Amino acid sequence: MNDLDQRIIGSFDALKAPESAKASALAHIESVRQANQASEGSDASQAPESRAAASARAVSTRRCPRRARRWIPAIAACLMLACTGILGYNAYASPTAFVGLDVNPSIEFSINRFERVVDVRPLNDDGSALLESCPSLMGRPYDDALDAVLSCEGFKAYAAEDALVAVDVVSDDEAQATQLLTQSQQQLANLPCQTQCHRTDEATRESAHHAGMGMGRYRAAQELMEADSSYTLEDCASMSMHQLKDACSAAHEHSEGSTDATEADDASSSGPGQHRRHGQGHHGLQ
Amino acid sequence: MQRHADTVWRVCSLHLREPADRQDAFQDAFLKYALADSTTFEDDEHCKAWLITVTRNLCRDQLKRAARKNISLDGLEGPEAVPVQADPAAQPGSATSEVVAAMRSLDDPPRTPLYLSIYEGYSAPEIASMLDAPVNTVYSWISRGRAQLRSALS
Repeated sequence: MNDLDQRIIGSFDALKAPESAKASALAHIESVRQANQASEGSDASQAPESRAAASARAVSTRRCPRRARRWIPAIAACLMLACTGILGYNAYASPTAFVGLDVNPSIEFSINRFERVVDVRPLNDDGSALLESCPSLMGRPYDDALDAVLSCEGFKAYAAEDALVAVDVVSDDEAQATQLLTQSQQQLANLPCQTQCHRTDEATRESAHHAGMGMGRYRAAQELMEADSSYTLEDCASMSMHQLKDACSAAHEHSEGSTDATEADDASSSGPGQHRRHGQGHHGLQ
Repeated sequence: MQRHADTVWRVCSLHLREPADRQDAFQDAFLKYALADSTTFEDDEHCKAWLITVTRNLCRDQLKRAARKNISLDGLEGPEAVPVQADPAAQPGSATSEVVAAMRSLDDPPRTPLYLSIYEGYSAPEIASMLDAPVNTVYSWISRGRAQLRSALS
């Protein structure tokens, strides 16, 4: 949980409903309830008229049943067509996979079961600018849409040789996930920079969105924060994928260096017994 | 009312600045609950979600009515204004007020989705169901809301 979340939670925790507001609400509800009970009493005297009116309506309904019956099959057919159309549209429009692209811009494709893009959304300001520079991606096959993004002018500035492009695929459908990964790898192979393709789960995707990030950036941020706890999610949100990777490498090297130093210290501080055991180890590893 | 009074009050505070307006919306929300005989709640969480949605709608209606009448809900300020609510519990500290005021300064959406996500802990699919919006749209709202709130508080 970051600092912003904690501030929001703390601020709203401090807001409590005043006792006076509760008392006033209860009093108002009671007065309305009493008014309703009083009006229900007067409604009872009108019951006979209502029953007469209901009888009249029943008679009028019985007078024209045949005309209504002719239209029922036609109406039912129209409703079925409408339902089929709606269900078909829902099947087309519903995403079955998500593909995140993180460089510095972060965007996310929503892909339907027919491998078509049904939604593309930016996850940061650079992502918004990137999508504005791209042609329309909606309804395109995924590999075609990804190619359009990687080829557009707005993306070329980010695909320098020292950049890192990460693609993350989320899908419950194994075959679709494999297909999307393969297509992504083929498209990214044409780039001059480093690339990564990952299969990710929905829980990670949800956590990433909760943090306001793309999946690739979120994974890299998690790895960096585990290696170096001085980094926060907010720090990582403004770093490029390349910067996150470099920081992570540096953090790992630092911790390995510390481990080596610690091991060296242990060896130098060990007593005579340890030395004799190591000397014996020369003759055969255990 | 005891279980959900604070929740309803927070939603009122999220949208309405004046204590009198919050009291009206608070009262109307529980009146609707009391009169909702035809609504069946599966559990307490369902009831809470229903109250949050109803309260939000009532607050939005109140703001629309005020806008149509060209009456500012920020009005009645200054020494001549009669404070309706003198309960100290309704007067949070300045740091708290700053965050709540910043949330109130956001458009809605992303104000309500951001509040439901961060404070109430609802997931994006749950928020999408409550607000009758696509899940992806909710994700965008939350992401945008965070950025706007960060900017408002900086």
